[in-house]
Amino acid sequence: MRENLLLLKKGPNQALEKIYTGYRKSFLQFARKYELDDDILIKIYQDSFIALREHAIKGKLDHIKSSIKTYLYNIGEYKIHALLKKQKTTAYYEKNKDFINSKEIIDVFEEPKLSVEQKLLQKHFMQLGKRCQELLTLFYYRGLTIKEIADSQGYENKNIVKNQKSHCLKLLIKISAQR
Amino acid sequence: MKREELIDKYIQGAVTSSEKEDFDHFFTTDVDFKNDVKVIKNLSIVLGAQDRKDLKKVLLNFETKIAAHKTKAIPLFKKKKFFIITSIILLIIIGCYLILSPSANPDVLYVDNFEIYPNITTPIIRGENDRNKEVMAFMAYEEKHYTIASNQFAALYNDTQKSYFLLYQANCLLAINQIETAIPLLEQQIALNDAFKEKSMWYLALAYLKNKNKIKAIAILEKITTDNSFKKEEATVLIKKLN
Repeated sequence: MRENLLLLKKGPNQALEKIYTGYRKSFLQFARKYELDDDILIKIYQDSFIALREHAIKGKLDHIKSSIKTYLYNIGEYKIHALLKKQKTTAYYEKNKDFINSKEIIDVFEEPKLSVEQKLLQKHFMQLGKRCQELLTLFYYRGLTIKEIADSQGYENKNIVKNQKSHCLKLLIKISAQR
Repeated sequence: MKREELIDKYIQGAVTSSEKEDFDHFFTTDVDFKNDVKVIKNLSIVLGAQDRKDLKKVLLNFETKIAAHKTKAIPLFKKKKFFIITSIILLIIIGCYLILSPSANPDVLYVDNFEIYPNITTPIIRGENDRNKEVMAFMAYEEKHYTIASNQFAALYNDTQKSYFLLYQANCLLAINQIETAIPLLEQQIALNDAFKEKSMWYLALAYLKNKNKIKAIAILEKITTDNSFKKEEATVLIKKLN
């Protein structure tokens, strides 16, 4: 579990394949009881996986008592119930009120809507080179330390990363100030 | 401590009480500092959105790999055995046909040989817009709505430049008897010289056959047999019949 949690928190997206495929089959088997199409269940599994990774980065998985798999299933089950509730409204609620009342409410994560200012910043960020984009993402979003970035990205030492990150940030602020 | 480092520590919630005092001082007295704090705060939100968008694409790729793996589930030795058996049966059938058949009418040969190329490229997964367009096109294709599918493949090729859309569009056109329109698409696909080239060669040969252009059809069929490529056995039989 420790290894998977570390990978979810700090690993690059491409490295998540083993975890994604590892839980996928049993999730679909478990979720088929809701009689939804597999295409819909796969979409829910993907959204749940993205929420799981988000929670890992934000440190919400650091002290959970259940396994990562159970946590992921809980998110998925909530998303399924939210969908069924949307489709069947009152009839759904009557049939599933035991589930709704018995489960601890968890934050399943919804994609935030970006403000105009943030959208503009996103546009400016996309103008940076790939290396800068990667560095800023690792530091400001994934929360990797300068040393972790140096080790994982093959930089010679911490100072190079520190200077490079500072340069990238200044460049972004400069681009943003010009517009 | 550098100002940038101070902001980073503040954002991470790691400032000491004296650093917090410095931070508050700069924040209230220095407009640039205040602006930098705002940008960095917004940046973490923007980066999250961007990274999740990227992860979504990566997950779709994982799904494509899973779907492709499922179609390759037959072990290799079984596959080989299957191909050997089907090739022998095919040769016996074709042999009998050659002996018993009195004529080599190109129309008849075309009808006997034309079979729509199956959808082997796109597993049906719902996702982002582009992916949905592709899924919709292949759904129309599999449901034999060839005119609709042809238009959709044409639009997809324009948008993505993926060469296999040319092959599938040409197949739609062959299926609805628009041979003249299919031929340039197949020629265009062949010129791209990729993995789909040998399939396009076979369908181009059939298109010429249907157009009663025996010389061009035979030339392509001979190329198929010498290159030992897709539909080699069928090409050999067709050449014999056409000569």
